[in-house]
Amino acid sequence: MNLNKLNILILLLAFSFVECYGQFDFFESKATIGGYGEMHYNYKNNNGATKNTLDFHRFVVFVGYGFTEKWSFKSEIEIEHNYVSDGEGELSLEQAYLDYHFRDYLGFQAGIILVSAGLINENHEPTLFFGVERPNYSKYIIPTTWFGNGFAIYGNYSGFEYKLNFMEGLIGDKFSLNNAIRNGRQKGFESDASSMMYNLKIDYTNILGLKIGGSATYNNSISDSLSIPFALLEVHADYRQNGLILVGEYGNINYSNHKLLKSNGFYFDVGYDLSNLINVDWKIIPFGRYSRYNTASETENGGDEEKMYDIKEWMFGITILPIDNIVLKADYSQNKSELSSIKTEFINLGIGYRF
Amino acid sequence: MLKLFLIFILINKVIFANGIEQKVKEIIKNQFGNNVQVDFNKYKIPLELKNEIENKVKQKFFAESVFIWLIKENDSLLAVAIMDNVYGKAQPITFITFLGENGKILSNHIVKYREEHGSAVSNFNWNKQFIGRDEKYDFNKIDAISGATISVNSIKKGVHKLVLLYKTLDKTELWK
Repeated sequence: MNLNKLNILILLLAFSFVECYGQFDFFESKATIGGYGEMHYNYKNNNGATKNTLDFHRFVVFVGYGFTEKWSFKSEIEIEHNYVSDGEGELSLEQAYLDYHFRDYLGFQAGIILVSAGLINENHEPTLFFGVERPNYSKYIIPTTWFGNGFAIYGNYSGFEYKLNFMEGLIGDKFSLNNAIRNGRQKGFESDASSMMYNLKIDYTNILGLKIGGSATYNNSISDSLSIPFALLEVHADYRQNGLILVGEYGNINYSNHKLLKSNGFYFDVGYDLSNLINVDWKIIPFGRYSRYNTASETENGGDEEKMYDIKEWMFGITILPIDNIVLKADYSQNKSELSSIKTEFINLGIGYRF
Repeated sequence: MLKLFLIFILINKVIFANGIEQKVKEIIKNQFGNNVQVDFNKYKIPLELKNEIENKVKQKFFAESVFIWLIKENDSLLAVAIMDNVYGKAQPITFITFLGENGKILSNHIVKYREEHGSAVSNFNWNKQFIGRDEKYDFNKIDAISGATISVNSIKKGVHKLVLLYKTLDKTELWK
């Protein structure tokens, strides 16, 4: 390429990124603050052994800043279980990234970002999901909140929302039969970048009330001996129309070079907003859930090992939203391992907010 | 290489029109055709009225002024379009609401969205819910979108504010 062509190329490239603003140039640099929090009462009865806890589970502050129409910064700082001391509680920076929103169909992020997997990892405020605690599927199959250092390309076009994350991988040596990949998260702490993780999500949102999509995540996870590749594939759907709410997710993880060969699970929620029937301002949503998940659905050893963590669970409860930003919750659930005849009962009460 | 860049720029500048004025013109053309006259005004909202509407809807106006287009055909007014901004998670969302003489919404459009999450509020099907609504409507009944809660709540309040503002505009002056 000669010098003239190179000059033209640079000029054209610069031109393509320049916007012309006139009388509608109303953008002002501004900081925004938000947050959410939730306090829970949990009662557990395991064959007569009971436990009662009252816990301010999460306190989260969101701080953002719009430098220009395209450049912004977003962050989320979280304290879990009220204080941090001697390995109890958790203080973490769950999001902190620079965002360059070039066009609707193309944007870039760099920093501490969320993995785009499932419905709840990226939208985990208490007003947005049923049940006092997040679904167990969103703990054991998709380890919410799943975040780390990395880069992302995102956009939306014709109702398709897509995001490709290129970020820190997991520590494969910490994978376990009872927690699947959950303990392998590096959480952005001086991340070992020797094997990066690829995560692609596509959602379709052009049908009123429906969000449907899926994601694929692959990482040759880090290990002291042989690396442990894993692939997580999941699908999800959320439908909200005329008071009816249907939510469902299914996910499967395949492993190599590990005693775990497969983890999988699903849940399905049905709810109905009664404010559609009775003329009240509050949203009153009774709901039911059925879930089954197994963090060790296929193992090298097989046998009882594959039944021990195979959990069936059902739940019913109520979600009340006096205003869109405040939620009161109550639920009752039972779960049972395939290997045991003992049912564990749970009663949970919760309050939450977001702003 | 040069040709590739030319194509990229062409797509950016022509197909994905990004300027607010250009997008508003496109929306007006798609809704009312080519043979309409369009008058533009920047309207400063009287302070007392601004406070009254903000208190009622529980949302501040983005600025002291909104942008108003009068869409006319043969000197007869077809619609009034009011453009304003509301905040999403961190960035403003620019939207425009078209209203008819009876105060009912003819259509609502997202002119510019500037964030990753919540862009589903730009979808035509979601915005269709506003058509035919007026100041008597309970805007809380607008359906939510999974993963776009902040944007949905902001826009439904933003549209409600414009419907209330429209009610106060001098109709005899506008519709003559």
